[in-house]
Amino acid sequence: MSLLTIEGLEVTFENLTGNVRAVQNISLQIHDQETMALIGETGCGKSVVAQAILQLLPGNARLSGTILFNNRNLLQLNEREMASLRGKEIAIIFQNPSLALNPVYTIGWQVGEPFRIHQNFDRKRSLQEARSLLAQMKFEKPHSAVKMYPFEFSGGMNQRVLIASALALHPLLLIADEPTRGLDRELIDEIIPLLDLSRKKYASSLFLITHDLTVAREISDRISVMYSGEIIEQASASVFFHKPLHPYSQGLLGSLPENGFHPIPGHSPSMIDFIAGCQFHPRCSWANDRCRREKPGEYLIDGQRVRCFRYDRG
Amino acid sequence: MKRYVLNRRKYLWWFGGALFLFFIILAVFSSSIAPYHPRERFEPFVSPSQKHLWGTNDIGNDIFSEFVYGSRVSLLVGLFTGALSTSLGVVIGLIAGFHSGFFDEVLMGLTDVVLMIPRIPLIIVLSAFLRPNMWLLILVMSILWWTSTARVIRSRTMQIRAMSFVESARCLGFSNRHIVFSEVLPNIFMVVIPEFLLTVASAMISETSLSFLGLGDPSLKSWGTMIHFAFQRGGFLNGMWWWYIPPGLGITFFVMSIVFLSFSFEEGEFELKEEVKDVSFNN
Repeated sequence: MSLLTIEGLEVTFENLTGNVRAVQNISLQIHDQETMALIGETGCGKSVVAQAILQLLPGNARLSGTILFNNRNLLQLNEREMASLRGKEIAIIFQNPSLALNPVYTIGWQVGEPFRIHQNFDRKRSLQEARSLLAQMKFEKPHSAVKMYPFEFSGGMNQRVLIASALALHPLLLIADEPTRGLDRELIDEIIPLLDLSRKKYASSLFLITHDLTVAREISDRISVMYSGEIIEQASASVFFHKPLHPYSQGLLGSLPENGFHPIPGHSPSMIDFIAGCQFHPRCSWANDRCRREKPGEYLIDGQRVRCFRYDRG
Repeated sequence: MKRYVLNRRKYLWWFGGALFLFFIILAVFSSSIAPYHPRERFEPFVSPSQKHLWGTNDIGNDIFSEFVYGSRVSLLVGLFTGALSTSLGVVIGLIAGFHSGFFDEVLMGLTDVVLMIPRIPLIIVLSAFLRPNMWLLILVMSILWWTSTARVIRSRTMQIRAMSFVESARCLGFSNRHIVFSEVLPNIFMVVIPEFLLTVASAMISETSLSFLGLGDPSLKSWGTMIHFAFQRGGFLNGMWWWYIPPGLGITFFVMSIVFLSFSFEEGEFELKEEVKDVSFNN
């Protein structure tokens, strides 16, 4: 059964310079106990999807479509109902871990905060819970770690602290928005298995948003590729990394070091400009007249969904 | 010179702190420090001597005792006004800064209106119609003095609100009230302290000026009242410097100590900012 179903989600930001169609008619499902990775270039609207799920978008955003979470449409909930969902059922880990922690409180205080607020634990018990969570996050000395302040920790340590506080109340869905941005390779190798482990342990689903293909390959069950506000390919991870269908996905895999570092020509498009037809056609070597005129629909090829006319057999 | 600049905060802190502590002790332990009760009468117009350290006034009250007890009034008016108006300003500033839009417009409009009210003339008019009373004075000053605090707090709140730890607090499902008071407020506390101290200083000066004009609480002996009587009953004309110099210096040094303390807190805030900067470079 699917935990989260997004159907026909559109997000438009109203600006003085014009409307930005950040997310255009995307549909995706996240099942129980699975890791779904949303990959794409910077600025393709990945984070907007995460913020739309949690209703954290600024006031000039216009949303339409449905986001069903446990059969409730999140777009119809008010702020109070949303607040009761955040943290308890859907939790998020942000990029920039050091800025996502309050500089004036100790680590233990911040990790214990959800327990105090949502479960009425007292100070001592919340600290205990914080210590055990930090121990699970591979902190060697949780007793001294709870007394430290965020500026005394490195980015990787702060990221683990954030994962700990996001998992505090055993959310059903954990969203990780670029959890590896700004971390070096060694720290990434430390954080990613930890995310996977906690996902399995707490029986929640993970929605991983990243531009890093290797990270997505390591832990995800299914992959969605986003390009310029649209999802252009959805596949299970094992299939996707062997046989990507969409030319953009093929280009992404081709740009990996082990595949020879071939960059995709051109630049990612601005979302203010209107591109007729397939969004990818200006950079696509297969593009023909039809790609320039019509928007491709979704084609189902052996369980893989792809938006490209090359797979149109009808 | 360079050393002075580098250590300025320390000097300000020690000098201001020592002076402030001195006046606090004076106010709290008035009854054991002062040799006589301020209303006890001796020979009038005595110049400073062994028996009367700073002489006596026209009705024979001991000036030193008057001075010591007078510190209580200044401190009481200053601290109460400071506490009331700062809390009012902090709450209004936090609400306006955090909920931008309608609340912000209304509250900042209100701030502009209150800011335009001429403070001292209003108090003079009020005390002409109502009986001059210290608590009334404190209340009226608190209602008029919160504006600058509210503006400073609002701008800092808007700054803090945009930081990602506020957003991550929202993502953990914390209520707005919790976020405002437990996430945002501790981060702007270093701005609140100097604002509080400066309000205290300005309230003390206002109280003294009003008492000097004869609009103070007649049942209390404050430093302003002492100068008022020295002026009215010939202290200035007859050159009885011991009558008006002590209260004048008292208010000057008391206010100076508070201003120095608030300066040192403001410089402390600079250091805090540097630290925050370091954090963002870490990742």
